[in-house]
Amino acid sequence: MAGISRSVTDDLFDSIIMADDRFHVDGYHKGFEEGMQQGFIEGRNHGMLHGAKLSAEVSFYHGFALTWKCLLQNTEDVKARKRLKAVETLDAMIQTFPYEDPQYENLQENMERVRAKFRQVCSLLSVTADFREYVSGSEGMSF
Amino acid sequence: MSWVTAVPRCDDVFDEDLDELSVQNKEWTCNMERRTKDGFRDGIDAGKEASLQQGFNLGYREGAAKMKAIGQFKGIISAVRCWCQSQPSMRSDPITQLLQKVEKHEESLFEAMRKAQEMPPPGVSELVGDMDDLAVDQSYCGGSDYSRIDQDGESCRKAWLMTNRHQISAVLQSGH
Repeated sequence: MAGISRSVTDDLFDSIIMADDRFHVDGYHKGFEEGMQQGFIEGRNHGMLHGAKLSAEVSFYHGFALTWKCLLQNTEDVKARKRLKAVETLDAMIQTFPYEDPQYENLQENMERVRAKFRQVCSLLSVTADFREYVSGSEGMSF
Repeated sequence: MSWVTAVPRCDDVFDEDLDELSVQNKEWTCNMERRTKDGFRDGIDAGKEASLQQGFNLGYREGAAKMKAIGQFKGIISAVRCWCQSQPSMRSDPITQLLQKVEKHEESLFEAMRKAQEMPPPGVSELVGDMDDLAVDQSYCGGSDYSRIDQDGESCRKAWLMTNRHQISAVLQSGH
């Protein structure tokens, strides 16, 4: 009888001591679920902007290269051939560049190579590499 | 005669016990609430850490897909514009205007994404926080603000003293 009542009081005592932990764990589980949602949303918004910026830039180079490829294809002189070759190299670089994959290891490295190639193409075509200037210059938007 | 006065005294003593119990109850609830909140915060941090990368990867792909078409279009128009400028017989004004429109649209897409990043939809915990700020939860713990957790025990006692002050003064007077 004494043994039973002791184990009951022990259990009671344990449950009081454990309650501290139990409440913490309960809160933790609720918080974890909430945190998973918040983290996912935050990460997604953050990632979206990153992916969008990089994709916009690479796609711009791609469209630029493809168009010049078409424009230069039918010309015969040596200068145009040199230009065409550079433009084709840029196009090929972008086509093999998995820039849409955030887990691609050499993303930054590859991006720098594409940028360098684009600058080279621009200088060969004797066009300015900064394409933002005419918009900001003519629109006169101020913030 | 002494037993007559003893009766209310007994009541008082009984009341005191009950009050003590309720104080302990309240303190207990306060402590457990605090534990739950601590756990909740720890859980939020851990949950965020666990899902941030996953969210980033998905968002990255979505963002990349979203800007692909407009980026290419901008590249095509820019190339055509450069070519037009190199041809003396061509006017490049219309294509410049088109390019400006495309850039403007691209910028608005980016702006929408930036806004979404600055103002994510509110989570449950933030709503709870707001409710705390509005003092919706007006328990004996007072406004259960996270920053005031350490004072909660103290505010519990104060709140109890306030609600039971008539009984306390009665007990004190009967003692004299």
